[in-house]
Amino acid sequence: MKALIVDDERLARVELRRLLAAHPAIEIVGEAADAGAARAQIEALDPALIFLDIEMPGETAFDLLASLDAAPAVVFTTAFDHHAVRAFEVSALDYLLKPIEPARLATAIERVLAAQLGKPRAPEPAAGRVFVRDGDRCWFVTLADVPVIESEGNYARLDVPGQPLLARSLGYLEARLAASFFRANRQQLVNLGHVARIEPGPGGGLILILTSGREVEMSRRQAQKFRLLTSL
Amino acid sequence: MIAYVVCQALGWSVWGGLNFTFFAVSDMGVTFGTVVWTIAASALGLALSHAYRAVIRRRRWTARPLHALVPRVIGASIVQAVVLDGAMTALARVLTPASAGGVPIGASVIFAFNFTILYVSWSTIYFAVHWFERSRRAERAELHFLKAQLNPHFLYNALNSVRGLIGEDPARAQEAVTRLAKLLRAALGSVAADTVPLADELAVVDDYLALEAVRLEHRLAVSLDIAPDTLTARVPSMLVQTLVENAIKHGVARRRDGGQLRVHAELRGRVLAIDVENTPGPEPAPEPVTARGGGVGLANASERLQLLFGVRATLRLDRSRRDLTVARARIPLP
Repeated sequence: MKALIVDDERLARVELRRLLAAHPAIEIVGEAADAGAARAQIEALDPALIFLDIEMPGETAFDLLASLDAAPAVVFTTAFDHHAVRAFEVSALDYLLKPIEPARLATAIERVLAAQLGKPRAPEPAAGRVFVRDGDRCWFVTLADVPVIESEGNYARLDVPGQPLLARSLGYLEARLAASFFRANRQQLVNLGHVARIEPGPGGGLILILTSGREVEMSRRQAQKFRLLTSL
Repeated sequence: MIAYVVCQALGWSVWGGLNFTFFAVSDMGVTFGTVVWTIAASALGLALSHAYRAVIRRRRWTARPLHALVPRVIGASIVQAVVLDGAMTALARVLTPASAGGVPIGASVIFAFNFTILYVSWSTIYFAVHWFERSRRAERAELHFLKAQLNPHFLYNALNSVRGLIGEDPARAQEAVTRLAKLLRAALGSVAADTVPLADELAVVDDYLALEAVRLEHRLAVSLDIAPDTLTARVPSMLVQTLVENAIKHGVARRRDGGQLRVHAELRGRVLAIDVENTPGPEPAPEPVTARGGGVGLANASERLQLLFGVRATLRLDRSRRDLTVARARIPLP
């Protein structure tokens, strides 16, 4: 598995590299000392896993993750930090406390590998995961689990527990997620995988009934596009 | 406890002595009767007040608010005064059987009133001393609380760097461990003095900076500019360390390419001036992951400085320049 080490301290990277030498399943493809360099490395090297230090000069680890369209698996590394650790407990993200215990590192790697086996990487980023934040809490949301995405100004609200906001416009997401989401109206993107039934709506539109029972109205204009798309 | 014994012995001796003086200058004169009466009155007065103290302690009167305390003190004072007056009037009758009718009732009432004043005064002194000692204890506790502590984040990061260093440069790793031990000794020493000579404080800062240099490597550039005549001046322990740690945490460590840190100390007349300058972090300041804001360490240091050196000692953070943040400590010499 290709992995990237992100930490602003050179010696911390050296130490983690040394610890990872005991895990042949992990192939370290690169290192980065800050969020900007990490972003470039992620795009260039497409790692499946990042070891990510939380406090870095400039952007933090959270800023970096929130800026990614599809986040790889992440194991956070941090020195003692009460608040960050609490945030992780809530959202069950994995983290390692520095100095890192070899046994704890082995557990984290096992977990990552097990998750990868259970869920082979999606063929397209559309079904990937996004990193969301809500105050103190932060977690990953698998887009395939999101039935509806609603526009909220320049942000998009994901209709999953916690109702997190994503710092992307609905238009951006529509283009990005065209394979699995459809624009039902001005306000909403609907995950086609969550549509149970379709009924005729008022004025030549459609009503999508989702597996959750929720109804979403599709405008006439969009319904025409939809019919065209589904008749193919 | 010692203060109580001394106060009781001294107070009642003075009171007895005053009574004796009045007898001596009055027409009653120094007789066997007046001597016995004076000694007995002082001894009984002392015994009553000692019993009174036992009541105060058992019933925890010192924990009561003033409005609850005042009626209790007045009541207890009247009770003691009446007992003392009754006993002393009886004794006076025994001691002066020949004189005309012993002690008149009017004199007895006046005595009771005077004894009440006496016990109210005793109570005032007792509670004043108690209150004073308690406020001093609170101040000590506050000083202890405000004592600068090493940031755990720094400590764990330093340990992690040292572990990386063990494989790379064992000699430097050994030196770093020694530095860390010295730093911990300075920070954890519960017997450590509240104030230390600046020279000792700078030795702690030197250890701290050596460890930060292991962590931050080329990103940290330090210059020290210390006037030799400042080295014996006393400063709160860990004060300069706190300022330096703050400067690194909010300045140098937040910059990708690092920054400058400068410590400057000089005497300006009778005032020790310490400036810690650093290149500020990038703007706008990114939200720190921890909720532990920057201000707490500095606010505590400032409060502790004033508790130790009085209100003329000051600690201010000057952020008026975009390219430089300066923490300025001003400590008057004794």
